[in-house]
Amino acid sequence: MKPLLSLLLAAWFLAIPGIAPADAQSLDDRFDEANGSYHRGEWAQAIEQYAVIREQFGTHTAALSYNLGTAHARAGQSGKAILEFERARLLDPPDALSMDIQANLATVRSSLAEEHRRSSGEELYSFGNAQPVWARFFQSMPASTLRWSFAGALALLILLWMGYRTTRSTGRALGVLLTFTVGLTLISGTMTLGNHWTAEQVTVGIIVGARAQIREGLHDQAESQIVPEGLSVRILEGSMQRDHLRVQLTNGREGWMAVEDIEEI
Amino acid sequence: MLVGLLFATTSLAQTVELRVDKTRLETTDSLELEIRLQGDIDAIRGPNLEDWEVTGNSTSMQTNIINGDVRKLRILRKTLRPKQAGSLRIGTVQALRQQQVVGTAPQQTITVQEPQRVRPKTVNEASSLSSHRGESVFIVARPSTAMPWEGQPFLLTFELYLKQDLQVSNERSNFPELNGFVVTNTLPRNETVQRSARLAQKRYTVYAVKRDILVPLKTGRMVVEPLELHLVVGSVFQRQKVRVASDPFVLNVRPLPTSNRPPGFRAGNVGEFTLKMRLDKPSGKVGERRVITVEIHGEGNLKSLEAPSFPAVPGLSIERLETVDTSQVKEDEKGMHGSIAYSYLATPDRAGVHTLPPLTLAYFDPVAGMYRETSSPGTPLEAVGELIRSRVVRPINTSALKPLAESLGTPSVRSDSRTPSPVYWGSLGCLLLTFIGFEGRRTWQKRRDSTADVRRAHHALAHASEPLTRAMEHANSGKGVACHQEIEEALMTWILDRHALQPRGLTHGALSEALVARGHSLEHAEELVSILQTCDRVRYAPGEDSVPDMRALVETAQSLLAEMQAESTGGRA
Repeated sequence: MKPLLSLLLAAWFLAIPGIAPADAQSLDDRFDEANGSYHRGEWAQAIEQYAVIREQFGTHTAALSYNLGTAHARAGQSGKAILEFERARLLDPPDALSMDIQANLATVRSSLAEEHRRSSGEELYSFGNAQPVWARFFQSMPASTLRWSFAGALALLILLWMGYRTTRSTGRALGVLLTFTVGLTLISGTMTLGNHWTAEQVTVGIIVGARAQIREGLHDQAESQIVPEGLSVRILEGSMQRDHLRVQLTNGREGWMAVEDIEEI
Repeated sequence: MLVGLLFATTSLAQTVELRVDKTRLETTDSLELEIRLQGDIDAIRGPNLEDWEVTGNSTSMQTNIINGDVRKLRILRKTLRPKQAGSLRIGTVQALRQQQVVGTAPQQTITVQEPQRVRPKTVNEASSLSSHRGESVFIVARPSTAMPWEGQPFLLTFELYLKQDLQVSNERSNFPELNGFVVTNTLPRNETVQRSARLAQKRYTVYAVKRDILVPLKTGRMVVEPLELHLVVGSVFQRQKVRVASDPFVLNVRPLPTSNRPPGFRAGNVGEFTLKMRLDKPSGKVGERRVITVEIHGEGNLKSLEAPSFPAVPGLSIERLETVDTSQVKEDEKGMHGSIAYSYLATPDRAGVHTLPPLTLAYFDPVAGMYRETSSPGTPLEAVGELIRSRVVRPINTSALKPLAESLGTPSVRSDSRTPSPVYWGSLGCLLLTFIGFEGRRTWQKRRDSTADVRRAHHALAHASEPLTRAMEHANSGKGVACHQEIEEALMTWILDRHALQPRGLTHGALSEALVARGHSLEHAEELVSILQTCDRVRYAPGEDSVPDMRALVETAQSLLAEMQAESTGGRA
């Protein structure tokens, strides 16, 4: 009985990465076509083709978001480029792709920051992440990694506990290992909960409107100011009546921005 | 006299009679049926009304004394509506007194026809009063125009004319379906709109029954069907039901001309309008939003107007807000009129005096039958401050961008997805189930073992109590050796039964250690060994023990076994 259960559990875990889309061939062809458009310098065409893959086929991959972001960057749409790179980061990219995403994100952000410095003469905004420090800490690792780490630590803890209870061993090595595993489980569990909670509580968006403005209030006479495209903002609340969102910029300033100027990551 | 009256009443014959107010009618009409019962009648049988729908019932009683005769007349009234056209029957009515038929009214046949379709009239014919000369009550339809343009709002009023000395109440209304028009009711709720009029030397009260603003959606000949009312009309003493209907009429909706149509004209801009533009503040900072309000005044299809668009202005971004203020649009007896306001946001991105360009609205004037334009003058807008550079990001240093990913990769759920995948929950569930199963199994085993252990402990104590009882008997009879042998037997038996440990052959030291290893305290183990030593001593060196000493030793052994029993079972036995 026990070997059978172990086999079933092993099959369960091994089967996880094997889930694949039904229409993989067709999607790959379309992806190649979009890449072809990009390589021919037809940025707008490439953007459209990537968007079709996502919208019509409901496909979300890190590579798709990364390529879409790169095409946006080529087309001079920095806000949307940053948005897509941020989305790509959340899609568990492989290590090599992850480095490319970070590199392109840094390139676009530094170019925006330089542009901003040049136009305003001072650095009014930071193009970094709009999340608070504690949220950034909990979001430093992908949620799925944290969840599976917690599950793994819990599995190890249960195995060790079962070993301890069965053998009644009081050996020092087992005690140390058990203590270490309890700590690991607690840490990964706390990180998982924190990650989930911050994902619920902290919503971050990217300014994609080229002429986005932040207003002090929702009334017509409220003071407003143009904010640069590509800036990361924390979305605090929405106003359905006026199609505006209350946001907090990276410099701490709060105000209202039109919904169409912001896209949630 | 009273006796005389009663006599007179009873002496009269009983009669029953059926009366109808008409014998020919249309399917949309109603019929009034009266069953008149005279004399003392207990009940009636019939009439059969299967061809009719009964829409009203009432009863009245009249008592007349004529030349000393008392005549009681009971009238049952029914309002009937025919279920179909044809010769419809109202069945026989029988009057009953003391279960006997004392009178019969014969059945009646009523001819019911489908309503005749009236040829639609022209607007002038339908709204003319001269054809209603002499009528006490009638309805007239009055459109404000006979040939409206496509998209032109116009008023259609149905008026009920009633001679001033008459009273009226409405029982039922059939309103025409105005297909092909956008219809807006303009009559105030809970308020009667009426006026006086004179026609052929007679004074009438004119009620507005229905007053709508119609906007034609298509062109060509369109028939407006009659509005029909079923009324009760008359004086205080005499009332009758009447059906009145307006005449159907034809409207010819004209298409908007295609010639000379201005390029900015939008379908729906039909009426006569003027346009005004105002700016919330003429000067401000660069990048500061200003609100432009564009008001269009006039009479016409204000609600369907399309907001005019500003042409592009260098250095000025103008966008329209979705909000449209229609609060000043009025829909009443004058038609659709008032003003509508659109809002725009103008944002200068460079300093200087900008000019909001003249805004033009092209519309079709239905009165003049031609296209017109109304414009606002250009308005200056001053902005101070520094130039805001173009927000279009310069192309990024392309050499710094990394190459594209060549493979689409495996589609996955976003890793920040707030709902973990079923695979994850399944795995976590498996882990927890494994843990719960393991612990549950152990607990169950422990409980099972514990139960067996307690049973064994009970058995051991019971087994040991027999020699102890005998030991007490020997103690009471002063047999020292026998008493100590029984005590020793009891202790050995208990150890063997309780712990499956053969104490014979063990040294006292080894026995003490073995007991401690099985969960007993050292104190109890040593006390037990001490009693065994006492028993040994007596066996090998018998002496004179007093009875109280032996009894005390037996009691000590008993209490020790009880304590060790509790100790070994954790107090469960």
